[in-house]
Amino acid sequence: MRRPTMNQPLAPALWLAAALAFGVVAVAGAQEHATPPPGHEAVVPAGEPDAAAAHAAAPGETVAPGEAAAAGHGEGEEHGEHAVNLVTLTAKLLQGGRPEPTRPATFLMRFQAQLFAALAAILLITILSRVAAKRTDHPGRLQAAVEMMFDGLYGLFRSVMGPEARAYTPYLGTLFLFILFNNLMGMVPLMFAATSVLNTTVGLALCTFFYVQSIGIRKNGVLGYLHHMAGSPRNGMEWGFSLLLFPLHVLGEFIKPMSLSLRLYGNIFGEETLVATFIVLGAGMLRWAHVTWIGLPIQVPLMFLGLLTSVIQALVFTLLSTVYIALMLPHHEHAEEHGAPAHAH
Amino acid sequence: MNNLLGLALPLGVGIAAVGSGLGLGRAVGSAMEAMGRQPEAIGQIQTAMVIGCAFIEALTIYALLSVFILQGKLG
Repeated sequence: MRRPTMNQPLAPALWLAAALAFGVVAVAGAQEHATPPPGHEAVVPAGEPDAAAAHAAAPGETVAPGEAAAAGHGEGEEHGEHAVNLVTLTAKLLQGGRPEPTRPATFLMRFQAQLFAALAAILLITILSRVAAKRTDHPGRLQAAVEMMFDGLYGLFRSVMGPEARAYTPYLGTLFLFILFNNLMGMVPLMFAATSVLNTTVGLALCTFFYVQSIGIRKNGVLGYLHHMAGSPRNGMEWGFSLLLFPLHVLGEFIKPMSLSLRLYGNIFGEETLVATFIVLGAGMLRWAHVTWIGLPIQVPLMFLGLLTSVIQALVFTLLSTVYIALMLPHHEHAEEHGAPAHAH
Repeated sequence: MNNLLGLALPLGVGIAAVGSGLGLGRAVGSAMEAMGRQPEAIGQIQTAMVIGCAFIEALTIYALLSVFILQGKLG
């Protein structure tokens, strides 16, 4: 065991102090936007205006008022407030103060979510492929961490689905890690959560939907799949009910991706909006003392809540996908009990 | 029309919050009881409780979503 290089109680205190200090400096940059100019019809560089609050870098750079049209004024499509992130800062840099929107700036603003999702994917691929390529029997820290993660996830899937979980673990594990990375990136300053836009979450839910249906058709055959959709009737009376049950089941299958996507989107977008709102609130918190260049970082406690929500929502999405796959597999009697509810929305 | 929307949206979220408060209270209460009966299963019960709470919370989030979507029309 290596001797710790820092005095142990000091390290968490330093972390907390650094986080608070960053929060205070960041909020200082938000002072300019605590009171957006009334009736400001600004030229927007892209279809989606951004940032009434500036969660800025250490030098306190803010997004110029020309770029940050006050959210929601006169356009219904931008709802809630957003904090500034690396992509918007780059877009502003590329715009360079020119009045009409330039192509690189427009591209960056429009594809924010996709860029950050691509970043999360690249991170994931890099870390996991490095570990997989140099697998040894004496694992280093990275390989040990990844193995721990795999063990936890595999145990979870096996408790829901039984021993066949191994075949579905790649998809479900990737789903969990991807959603987790994206959610957590929303809580990092100057980053953006790709799952806080409906596009990403609906895409993920549709992946799960098509995967589950294809598993159903593959494992049960087409007739077996339809039989399952009709409620698996076994005797004459159940065949009578199947006429009623079939539309219900089909509707249920379509509701599943809807609820998956909306749940994830609502949670992550709501959390991010909350943090951005508190940034704006905290920016004007010291005005009573005629201090305008700095504010209070009251968004920091909410970011802790955001960490919890990010992990829980990734877990719920993955667990629900596991349950949907488990429901599609051919049912056979087994003595072991399942840990998860059989019908969940 | 805007006044009506400004009244209806927060009211909707408030009513959804009442429902989810009741549901979550029941869920967590049962979880507490189960943990008291069988302390060695606390880990599993906790996990199941958190997952169940996420489902119940989702319905309130849908109500909050409608606020976000209609926010621009509040004028």
